[in-house]
Amino acid sequence: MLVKRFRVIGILLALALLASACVAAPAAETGQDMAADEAMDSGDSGALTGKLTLNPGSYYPSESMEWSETNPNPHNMILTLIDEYQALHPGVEIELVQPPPGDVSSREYIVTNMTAGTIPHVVYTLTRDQVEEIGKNWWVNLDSYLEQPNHYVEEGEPGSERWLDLFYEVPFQANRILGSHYTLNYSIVTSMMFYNKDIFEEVGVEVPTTLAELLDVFQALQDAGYTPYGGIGSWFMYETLGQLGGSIMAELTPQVNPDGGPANFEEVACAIDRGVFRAETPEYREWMRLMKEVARYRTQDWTDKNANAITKWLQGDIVVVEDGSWRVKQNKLNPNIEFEWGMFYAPKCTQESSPVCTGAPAPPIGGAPGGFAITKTAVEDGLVDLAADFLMFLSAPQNAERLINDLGNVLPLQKGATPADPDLIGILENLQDHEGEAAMWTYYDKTNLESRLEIWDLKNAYILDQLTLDDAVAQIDENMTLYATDFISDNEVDCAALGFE
Amino acid sequence: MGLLKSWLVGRFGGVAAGQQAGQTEERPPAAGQPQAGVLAGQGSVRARHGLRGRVRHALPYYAVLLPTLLGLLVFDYYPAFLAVYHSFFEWDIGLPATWVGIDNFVRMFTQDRTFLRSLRNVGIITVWIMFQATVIPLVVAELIFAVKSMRWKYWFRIGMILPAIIPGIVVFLLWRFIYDGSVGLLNAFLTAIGLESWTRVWLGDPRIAIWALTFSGFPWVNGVNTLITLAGLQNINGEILESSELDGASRLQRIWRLDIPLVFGQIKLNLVRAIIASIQIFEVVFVMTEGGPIKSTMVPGLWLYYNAFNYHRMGYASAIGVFIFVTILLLTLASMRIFREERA
Repeated sequence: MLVKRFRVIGILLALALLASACVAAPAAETGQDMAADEAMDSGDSGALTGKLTLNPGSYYPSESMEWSETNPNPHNMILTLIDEYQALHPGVEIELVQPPPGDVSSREYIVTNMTAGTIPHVVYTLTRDQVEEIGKNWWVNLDSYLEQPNHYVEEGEPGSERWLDLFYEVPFQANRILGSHYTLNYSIVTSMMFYNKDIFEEVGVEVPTTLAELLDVFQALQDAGYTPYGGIGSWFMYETLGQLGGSIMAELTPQVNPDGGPANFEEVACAIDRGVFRAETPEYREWMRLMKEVARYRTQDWTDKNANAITKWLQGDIVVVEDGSWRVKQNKLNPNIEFEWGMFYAPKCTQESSPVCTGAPAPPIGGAPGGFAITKTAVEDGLVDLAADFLMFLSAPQNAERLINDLGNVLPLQKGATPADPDLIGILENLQDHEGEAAMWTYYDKTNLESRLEIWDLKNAYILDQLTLDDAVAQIDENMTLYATDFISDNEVDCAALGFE
Repeated sequence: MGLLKSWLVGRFGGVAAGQQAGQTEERPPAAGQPQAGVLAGQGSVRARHGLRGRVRHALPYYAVLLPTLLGLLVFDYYPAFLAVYHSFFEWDIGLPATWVGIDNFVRMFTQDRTFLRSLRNVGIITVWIMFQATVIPLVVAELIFAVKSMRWKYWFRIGMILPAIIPGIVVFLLWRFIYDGSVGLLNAFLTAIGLESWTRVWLGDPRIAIWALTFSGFPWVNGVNTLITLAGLQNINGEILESSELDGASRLQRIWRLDIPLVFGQIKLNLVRAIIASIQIFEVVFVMTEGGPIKSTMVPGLWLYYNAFNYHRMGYASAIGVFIFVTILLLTLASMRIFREERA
């Protein structure tokens, strides 16, 4: 009886396969046609009329302009800017599309809408998410537009002759993918350590400048009965640990990033492939060991995805917390903080902590990971020129400054636009004058999502004593190598041409 | 017992003594229902009308069925069959698919450590859910069945079904807070009774997170399964139970020798539903741990989702989907066969 039933199921499955093959085959062909289509690279010749759809990401107006714990950044400047643009171009209508709720990642939103053909003409996206999507013709190459003058910029100012010159070079150029811009990176974010000044004073500790001092401070805080350290979300300190890696491996930089400037995906992949940047190196192993040292002072629940270190810091239960530049405005608006707070950057690693450390400064974390991108829908609807013009308008310093400062949690990437908060001006200068994360090849964003998540897991497994250092390092090395091999082969990267032997 | 046995043989025939009433017996046609002979007569009448007449006669019925059938085909069968087709391809959304034969399936079992770990996890969860879906409802149903007062019995039934109307997501969120390492109820309770050393970050410790996840939902009483089992118990002919009492059977003997065999259909139904739910498990893991920490709570359904929407490996994700489908099918068939043999 069972055999008979299996036979029937087998026949049904075979028929279904045959039927699906007939139906699905044209879909595969369509995909091939899309890949061969070169329409995306040159833009089109649409006039400045039409209806443009825009998902502005976090610039989407907040539900209210009243501050609350659930609405820590009231903002609505995008509406004003849209009105002004529509007034300048009466034939244009811009429709705002609401971003997905917080628990849906922008990547999921983009992938599903791209696949369904419902993606707005312009969306806010992260450049790192585009890396694996370039061959799909989902995004418009912005290079030709960036070479044109931005007529919304005042005559004689950077960008008025060539749009590209409007942006700080290092953080902007760091976001090229295979030499081209597919995102108009718009703002800079950074992260740092926020600390409770009152508790520091009570325990009698100072802001640390080296890793050894940081560990001493944490120890003193722990001895005094405090939980010393927490991080963003549940997975702590990857930003800071990336900076620590940058300090430890500073001497390898000329080999990984031979031409200086921003370290790009191709260079990091080649450095891995040629054995320059590998987990088996003494520097990387020491990096792992020091991570574990720091992790001893974390909140007990740091592995729980639901842990909320920020809330605990705000309540005075954690002394030092790592968070982004957005915390500055949020802290200032928050009437419930009952202590003095301050901030400091990740300290450098000196020989006091490890013989491989050289005392090179930890690169300031920060960059321009996200921005506005023009999608295939704009190509299909003939609205690429309109979309590019609108982005020129949005990025002109007088407009970018208003939009960015209204949100208040990021810093302008445009020359001539200044942060409204004086506390952020120094931070911006630090990032625009130094290469920071742009050149920081140890930073986790310099590989793809899968490799990155796997490496995080392996590091956490080592920190939680689930793996020995040797096993963790061996598995990370295997993962890095696999990623680099695939990246180089998929993108036909010529490592020799990049200066790798 | 002899009296009981002779009653059962007389009622159900020699083969099916112990089977549930109404499952195998040929019931007389209810009032208004045509008898077999009448149907045969009608058939011959229809045959005389010819094909056109039969089509005209049947058309309204098929027309009523058609929307449902179409919906089923388009939204259930077509995507499922498409998944089977795509499982033989390497396919990243937006790029042409490449035929890779059974490579995706080979990779699943030979190279994908996360998938193998997810199998272990889903095995643990399935065993527990099978127990939770069959044994606990049986015990609770027996307790309610033993209540003499009809009024109390009614309120117990209501009590069973009320939690079932609370959306599952609410229960998962509640348990997330119960397990919270800092302010969770469980740690607070353990501390209050002097067991502070037992407190844990329940969902953050990779050694115990899967167990914490599995045992969430205490006291594990599934209202729907309990009511299904209770309905089976209430369907047992009172004369059988009376006979067992006359034969001097204890309560436990009655449950073991009478109740369980007679509610086998309900137990089987609960078991099959449990197998399907546990192999497909997704929401509880996604909400409570997202498969972490360090993928220690990963399950195939969530790994499918990550492969599809994070890594864009649609072909591989389809292969995991096919594996889940085939596993459910085999386990369901196997359980049905085992139960049939047990009953025989």
